[in-house]
Amino acid sequence: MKAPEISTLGIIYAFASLGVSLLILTYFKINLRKDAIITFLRMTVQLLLVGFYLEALFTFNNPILNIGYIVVMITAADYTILRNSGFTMALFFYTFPAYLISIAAVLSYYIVVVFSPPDIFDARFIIPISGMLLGNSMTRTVVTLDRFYDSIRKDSETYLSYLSMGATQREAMRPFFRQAYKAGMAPALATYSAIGLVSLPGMMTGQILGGSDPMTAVKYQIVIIMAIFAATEISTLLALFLSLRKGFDKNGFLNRGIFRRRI
Amino acid sequence: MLSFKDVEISFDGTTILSGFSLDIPKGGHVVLTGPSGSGKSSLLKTVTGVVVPKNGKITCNGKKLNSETIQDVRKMICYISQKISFEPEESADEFMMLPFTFKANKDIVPSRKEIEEITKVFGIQYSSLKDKKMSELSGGQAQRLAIARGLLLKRDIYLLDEATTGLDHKNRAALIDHFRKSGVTILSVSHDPEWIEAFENTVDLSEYAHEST
Repeated sequence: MKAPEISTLGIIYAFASLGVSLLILTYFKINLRKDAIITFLRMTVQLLLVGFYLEALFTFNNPILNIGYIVVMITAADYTILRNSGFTMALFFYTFPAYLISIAAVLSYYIVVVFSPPDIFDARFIIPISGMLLGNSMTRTVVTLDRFYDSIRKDSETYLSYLSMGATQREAMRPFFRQAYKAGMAPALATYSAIGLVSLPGMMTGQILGGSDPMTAVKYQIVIIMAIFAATEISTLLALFLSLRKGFDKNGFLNRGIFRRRI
Repeated sequence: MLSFKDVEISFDGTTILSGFSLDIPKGGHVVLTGPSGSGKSSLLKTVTGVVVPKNGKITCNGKKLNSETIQDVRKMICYISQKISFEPEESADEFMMLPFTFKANKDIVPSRKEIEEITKVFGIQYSSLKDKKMSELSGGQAQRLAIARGLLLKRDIYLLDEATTGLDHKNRAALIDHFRKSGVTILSVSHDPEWIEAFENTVDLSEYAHEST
């Protein structure tokens, strides 16, 4: 069974449901009406553009184009997430290889060993999977980096006390690293433990709506969660280690130039 | 043992201290005094390498302090501040043993007996306290443990930043007594009259301080 097409009128009806939100914003004089309208229009335009790109990519289905698209996706995503984080672009060249390596490693493993499609560069596989891996990796990587540097910045006395008791830079940052890693991983574990009970994940829902057998969709979802977890682990760790070169000066102290906010 | 020559410290282009020179011989004790903002704590931190002086030279046991020598210098010094840092879930025993998990200190891991003896000097019965979380201890207990831990490191030079704040007369006297007998070199920052009186040699940083602009 294939999912029924959604007509243009259908999309317009979907937009009409936003009227409820606009009524609430208007009635309570919450100053977000313009933002809400712009956000939803922007989201629609972005997704339609992605739809056109993907249709073209799926038609060509050329390995070089597919891989090129993934690299562009990583570049754009890294730039956007850094711009919206507390860090300056100085970290870009340290987080970028972290995402690139983690996506390449996990994608290769899963495509070759787990999914084994007839064409390993098939756009239908590698592009959506990379997108999911990337989206999840970036959120957690930035949360972890933010927590790590912020805790050292706020608690520089502790960090200093470790250094002055003979710790190497790595030894002194270990407790901060542990806490930051925990802070990044805990929400992911909480989300995964609620899957199926509280929420049905988007990918699985999409597959079922698209006509897949629920059990097939479930198996895909399990495998994808594992892949996401592996990719986030690798990218978080790599980004953290690579960023240390920029994040600390030669005396082992925090380079405050990596933060956007004046501190 | 520890010497400063024409040291200048500035932050964001504002000089807070300049032309500071001082020689502390082995076993010497110097207390830095002066109003807040005169650069006392910053001067202590220059020895740890965390504050880098704009000009001047710092020598520690014959080693000129720079990014190449800082790791070696850190093995000679111990910096104790009034702010005690710990992880909330950490037990008192984990807190005490933390510096001995660092490679630089792996040859000086103290025995249980040594820990019990040194904590007893500060009125702490270690066996009854070691399994408690650091967050459950009083500020004074944490302070005394931090000082005891610093002493177990057996360094040549101690940098004490208001380290006696929060200690009562008895414990302060015990610490003064311990340092007097130990023969270590001490550079401290203190407003505590009892401490200043005990160590006599004071340097008022007001004369090196710059007006804030």
